[in-house]
Formats: sequence, structure tokens, C-alpha cells
Amino acid sequence: MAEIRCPMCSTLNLAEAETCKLCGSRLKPTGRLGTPSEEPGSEMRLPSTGELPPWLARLRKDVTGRGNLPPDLPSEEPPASDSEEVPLSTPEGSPDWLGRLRQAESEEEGPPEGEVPDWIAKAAPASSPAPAEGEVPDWLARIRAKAEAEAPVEQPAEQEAWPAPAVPEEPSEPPALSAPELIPEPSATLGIPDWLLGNRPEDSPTAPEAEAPSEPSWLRGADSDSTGKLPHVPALILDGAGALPPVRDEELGPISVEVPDWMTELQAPPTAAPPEARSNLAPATLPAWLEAMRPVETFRSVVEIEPEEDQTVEAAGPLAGLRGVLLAEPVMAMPRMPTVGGGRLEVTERQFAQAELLHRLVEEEQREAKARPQARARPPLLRWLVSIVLFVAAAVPTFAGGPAFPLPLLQPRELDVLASLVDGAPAGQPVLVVFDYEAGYAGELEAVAGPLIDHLMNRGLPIATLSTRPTGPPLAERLVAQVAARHGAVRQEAFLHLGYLSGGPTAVQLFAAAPTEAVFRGYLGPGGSPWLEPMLQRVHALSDFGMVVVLTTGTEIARVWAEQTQTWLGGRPLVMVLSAGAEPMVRPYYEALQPKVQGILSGLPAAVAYELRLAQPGIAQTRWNAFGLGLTGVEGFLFIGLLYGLVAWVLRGRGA
Amino acid sequence: MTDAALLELIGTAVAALLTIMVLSYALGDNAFFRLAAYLFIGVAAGYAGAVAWHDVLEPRLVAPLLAAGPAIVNDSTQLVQVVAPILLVILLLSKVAPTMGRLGGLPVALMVGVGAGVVVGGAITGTLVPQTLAAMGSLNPAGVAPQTGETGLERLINVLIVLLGTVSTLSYFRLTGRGDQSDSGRYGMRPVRTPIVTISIPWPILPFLGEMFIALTFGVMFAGALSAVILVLVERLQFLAGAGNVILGGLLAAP
Repeated sequence: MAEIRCPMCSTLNLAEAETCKLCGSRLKPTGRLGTPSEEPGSEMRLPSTGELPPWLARLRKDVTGRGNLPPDLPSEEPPASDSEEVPLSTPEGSPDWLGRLRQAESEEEGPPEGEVPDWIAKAAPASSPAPAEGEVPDWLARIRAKAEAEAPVEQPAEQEAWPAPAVPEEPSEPPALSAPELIPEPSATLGIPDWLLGNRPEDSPTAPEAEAPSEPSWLRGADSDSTGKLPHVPALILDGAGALPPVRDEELGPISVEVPDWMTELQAPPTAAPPEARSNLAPATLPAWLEAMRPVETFRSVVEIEPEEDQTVEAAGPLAGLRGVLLAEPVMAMPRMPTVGGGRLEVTERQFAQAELLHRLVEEEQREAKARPQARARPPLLRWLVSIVLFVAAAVPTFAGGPAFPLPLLQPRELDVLASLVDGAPAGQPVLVVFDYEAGYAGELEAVAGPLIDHLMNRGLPIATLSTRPTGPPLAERLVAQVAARHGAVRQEAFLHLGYLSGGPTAVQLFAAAPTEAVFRGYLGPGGSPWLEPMLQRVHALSDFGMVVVLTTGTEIARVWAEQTQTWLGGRPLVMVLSAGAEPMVRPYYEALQPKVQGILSGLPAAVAYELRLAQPGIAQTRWNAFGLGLTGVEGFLFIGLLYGLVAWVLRGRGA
Repeated sequence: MTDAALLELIGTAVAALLTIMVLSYALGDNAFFRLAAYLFIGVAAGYAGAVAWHDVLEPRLVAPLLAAGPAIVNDSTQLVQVVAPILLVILLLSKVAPTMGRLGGLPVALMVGVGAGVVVGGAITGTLVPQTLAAMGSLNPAGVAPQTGETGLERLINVLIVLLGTVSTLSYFRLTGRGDQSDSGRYGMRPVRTPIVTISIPWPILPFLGEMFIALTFGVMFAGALSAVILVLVERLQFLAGAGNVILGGLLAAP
């Protein structure tokens, strides 16, 4: 008993059933592609395997589960009539299922007999071949006759080619879907356009050659140019030698059906192109940049076609029940080489060298660095030697009392000028002493400025100290209080501290213009304004001070006081007590014809000479021996260095 | 021992210890030197802050504001001398906040502008013009600066030396040169025939003399700085010696 499988749920139903007994789906298609030779009401009958294309035969086998069927199946059901024993493969080559579709279509769409309109009846030619009476309606017969009369000329050839599928390997396609000139070989294109197949290597046995006129003009020009200059690079990398593998026709049957008509019309003619025409075709050439992007290995599916018995039967979906269905899962989940960006690059030697260098760098980074044995730090012997010499030179006179260096017999010229300035200062007018140096230089400036403070106190001049640095007032207190103690001077009567003057050069100018408005509070005073003290009651401007003395170690501070106070000094002398390193830069202010600085005192020798002049041994003389011995050590190092340089210079000259 | 004597003794001991820690840098960089340096920096910063409050902020801003009270708005002098500085201080503090930082530009611009004006004006009138005139000093031996104590001949020699040093130093700092000059050397030797003997002198001679003047100036400044630090070292060693005596005397007198 013939059975038919439901295409939706794969349930076996009787062949006569119109709908599935399980899901209710329609088992027989409702449409048809009618041909004039088919008759309505013909029953489906399986043709012999030899009459069907191989792919269709295999499909039938999978559906029915039976292999070679006799050509007159089904045997269980006798044919209803002779006219119904129309084979599935009609003489025109159309399969039986197509015939059944046509039958169903005619059954549904045909108008009932006797209801044909007059215009249809008139359109039917009288000379049309009449089928069997009673089987084909008149209206349909007339339409078929008209269709035959208007059929193209080549249709007879087609009809001649299809009825005898003598070679089983040749695919038998429905006549409506296959081109008339189609040969079995073009079906191996697998849907690849002909422009792409035109780049197939020439040794491909099945590659069809595209016709030259089908190529656009611009493409022909590019080919002609490329054949002469650019290397031939096939656009497709095929298996092995680059040729498409021979494809069996039975495997290409269903695929060929999917080729659209426009593509089949563009395909090569049934006969292979002559060798002359083939040689004139320019092979496809890929640009260099495109060749560089070609994947290393063209992806090839590793899905192997298993024997038919080993193929699994699809269990779900529209293809349920079919055997040999290609499984999508392995292909989708299969690891593959990246097709984008994984190209084989053309690397120059320089690029290769750079890549090697980068590779080495990366390897070096990943390599574990060996713990380098820490080099033993060389002891700073020279530094230690210099330190020891200087320490010993400075400490021996201090701790051991010797040796004694002779005191300077000559005094600097500027010392007489300075002493005369102090001696000429108006009595009773306070002297402003500015302590603008850091604590680190106190050891030098206290020794240098000590004799000057002594001289001022000897004359009984009140001293007012000021500083533009926060650390200045304590330094002033340290020196002045020490000197005042020797003279019995009283704070706030013989000396006082104006304190800190904030603001830098601007504050210096402000103080020079209006001292009482620049300083509000003194340092170590009783509180309140220092200008109320008796010694400063008569001071309202800078010119009210008898003298301005600036103690500093920097040339910038000395320059600021020399520049900003000139306008308001009113002829009062400006004296600079300097560190030895700053003296060369300040001396031009002193030696000018119109000097900005009227007195200058710098260096320990000048201070010792000042003490000798005052006949008051002070701080300067206590440090004279140590200072002398230390300078001797320094001069010794300078001499040794000079000697070393001369020897090295001579040796270099001999070596050269 | 009184508290004052004890504090004096402790202060001396701490000062001596810090001095030794700083002098230990002669042996190399060590933790003691760093500790002393950080301590000095911290103490100096703290002391500067305290002085700024005690000598500037409190007597000039806070005290007048508290003394005047709300009536300060009626006193125009106080408004200018107290309120305006307070507003500028507030604007300057707004630079701490990123969104209000632009408000701090006003006091900064005021300080920079006033400072630049003061410095430039003083430099022109106090340094540039007088020193330029001094460099163009007359060769008249009678034009002697009295404070220098020079004679007429000494003045003439000094002026010639100053003239030669100025011109040669300026020629050393020439900013032009030929493009084809190689780096073979700045000076070459050129034989100069004298009545007695032919000697080779560096050529061009003027930039060479300028270089010598510059080297001499730097040498003098270095010698002065060296003598200053030697004097400072001597003072520190003398302090250590005195501190040792004080500490030993204090320890011996403690019972």
C-alpha cells in the first residue's frame, strides 16, 4: 500500500489522503505547472529509478525507505485507467510530481464545464490538437493549442532532449528552470558567477570560459595591462593545483536547480571554447595589496560525504526524514582560520629585520632578568681626603691653639672710607642695620659685621635692625645682643628690632618712602609700635637714619636696596657688608664716580683689619688662625689640581 | 641648675647634635643628614608662618578689623587699608578651588604688576644707567672716585682695563657666525712678530681676551665663596668646641 510522508511532521499517510492524519497538513500540493500533454485527473505514479535523476531517486528512497522500485509501482493499487498511467517523467522530461501539480492546478482553477466564456471559446483555435474527449475541457484545450502555437522555436529541441535521459549522470532538470543550451559541466559552477570562474586556472578541466563580449570594456583594458606587467595571481585558490574538483552530476542536480535563469543564460555555451579563444582571455589578476590580504589557507570544509547507509536521517525541521542532509552545526562551530586580516604579507628585508628586533625585545621583556651582582660602591676616597684635610685645618687651631697666622698689616682702602662714614654719622640719629642673610651664612657675616657693630656702639649710635626675611630678626638679635653685651647697651635704648618687613622689593621701596607705615610691630619689644620708642621718635623717613647698613650674602638683595632707597636716602650713606662671594658684583656700585654704595666691607681680612683699627679683638680675630689654615689647605688642593692638569696635558701632548 | 640654664644646655646640645648630623654629609648621603635637613626645612616653614601671622596678618588685618567692628564700613581709610586687603586675600585663597581659580588672578596680577614696575624702574635708574656710564668712564686721570682712594694713574689703568674687559667680553658673546665654520676650534694660533721674538697668540684675540675676563671673574667669585664656606666651617667647629665645654661643664655642675 502506497504511503506518503507528511512534509511537516513526517508522519506516514495513505497515498490517497489529502491531509495528514496527525497534523492536518495538506499532503498534496494545490498548484500545478501545466503542460499541454498532461491530462487532468492523472494519478501520481513513481517512475523507475532509471527515469529519475539520481538526486531525485535518492530523495525518493529516503522518503519511502525503499530502494529500486519497479517502474510500474505502485503494484498494490491497480491503475484506475490507461489514461491515468502517465509516468512521472513526461515525454517532455517533466517529473511526475510536477505533473501532479499541474493536475491539481487545473482541477482548482479550471472553470466548470459549460461555463467557459465566449471570448475564451472564440480564442481557442480550431486546429489545435485535441486530446482525448471528455478528459480535457474545451476551454483548456483551446488555451493549450494557443500556447503551442506561440511556443518558441527551440522548444521542440528541448522536448527532444528531455524525453531520453539516457545518461544517468546527467542532471534532469525541469524544463522551465534549465536553459536550453545548458550542459552538465556548467552546473559545476556551484553558483559562482562567470566573472569569477573566468579566473580559474586554465588547466581546470571543467572551468567554463566566459565569452569575451560579455566582459566590460574597462575590465578588458585592465586585463590587457595586467597581463603584460603584473604577475598572474589567480583570484581563487582551489584545492591542490587550483582546479575545481570534478563534481558528480548527481551531487549538483539540486544545486543547479537553484541557479537563476539570468545566471544560466550568462554561462558559457554548451561547447567548450576553442583553445584560441581561451588563450586570448586575460587571467584574473589580483592587486598586490589584495594578494597580501589573501588568507593563509583558504577555508575548506572538512565535512566528508559519508556513505549513504551511514548518513543520518534528519529528525526535525522541514527536512525531517531526509537522509544525507548537510548539518549546519559542525560547520558553524568549526574552528577555522580567520579569513579577514590573516593574510600572508609580503615582507621586505628591512621589515623582517625590524620584526626580528621587536621579537627579541619582547623576548627580552619576558625573560627573567638575572639578578645582577651589585657592584660594590667605590668609597669616595677623594671626598673623604678633602673633608679630613679641611676639618683638620679648621679644627687644629680651634682645639689645639696653633699654628698662629700673622694678622694683616695692611688694611683695605674701603675700610678707611667706611670708618670715616661711621665716624661722621650724626650723633643721636639711629643707624638702620638690615640683616638680609640666611642662617647658614651667620658664621661669616657675624665675623665681618661684628667690628662695624662694635664701631657703631662705640660711638653710641642707636641701632635699629630690620630684615626682609623671616629668619632675619633672630639673627639680628643674636649678633647685636652679643656686641651690646660687651658695651653694656640696653635694649630699646641702644638698639631695637623693627622685625620682619614683608613684600620684597616693593616693601623695600615702601619702607624707604614711609618707614613708619611699613613696619607696625617690632621684634622682642614691649609690644606696640616700635616707632614710639624714644630712640625712634624723631625718625619719620629714611633720611632720618644716620646711616643704612645692609648685611647680605646675595647680590640681588644688595642691588634692590641700592636701587630702591637712593631716592629717599637724602644723602645718607648706604653701606654694604657682604659675603666674600658677592663682593665682586657689588663693588661696581661702590667704585662708580657717582656711587650708589658709599661704604663696603667684605671678607674676614677686612674684618680683622677693622678690629685692629678699633683695637678691639673680636670674633674675626678668634677665627683668623683657623681660617688661615683652612685656606692653606684649599690652596694646597688647588696647587695639586693645577699640577695634575699640567702633567695630564703634557702626557696627552706626548701621546698625540 | 636653673631652668634657664638647663634649657640653654639642652638647646646647645641639640644644636651641636644637628651640626654633627649635617657635617656627616662629608662621609656621604646618610639618614642623619636627611633628618637634619628635613628638620630645618620644617622648622623654617613653621617659623615663617608664625612670623607672617605675628608681623603681618594679625597686626594689619585682624586687629584693625576687630577693633573697628561694624563701623569699619563708615571709615574710608579703614576700608582701603583693611577691607580691601581682606578682599584680595579672599580672592587669592579662591585659587585653591578649581572652579573659582580665575578670581585669584586679580590679586596675583596686582602683585606681579606692582612688583615688576618697582623692580624695572629701580633697575633702570639704579643700575643700568649708572653702570653704563661707569663703563664709559673718562680717561681723564683727574676723574677719580674719592671713595676708591685711587691715584690718577691707577684710575687710568683701571679704566683701560674696564674698557678692554667690556669690549672683549661683548665680542666673546657675538651671536653671528659663518655657516661654513667647522667645530675645529674657537681660536687659532697666529704668529706675531715682535722686535725681539716671534710669538704665537690666539686668534681672534679679542674674544679670547673676553673669555679670559669671564674666567677671571668666575674665579674671583668662586674664591670668595670658598673663603666664605671656610669661615662658616670654622665657626661651626668653634661652636662645637664651645658646646662641648658647655655640656661638660653643665654635666659636671649638675650634682
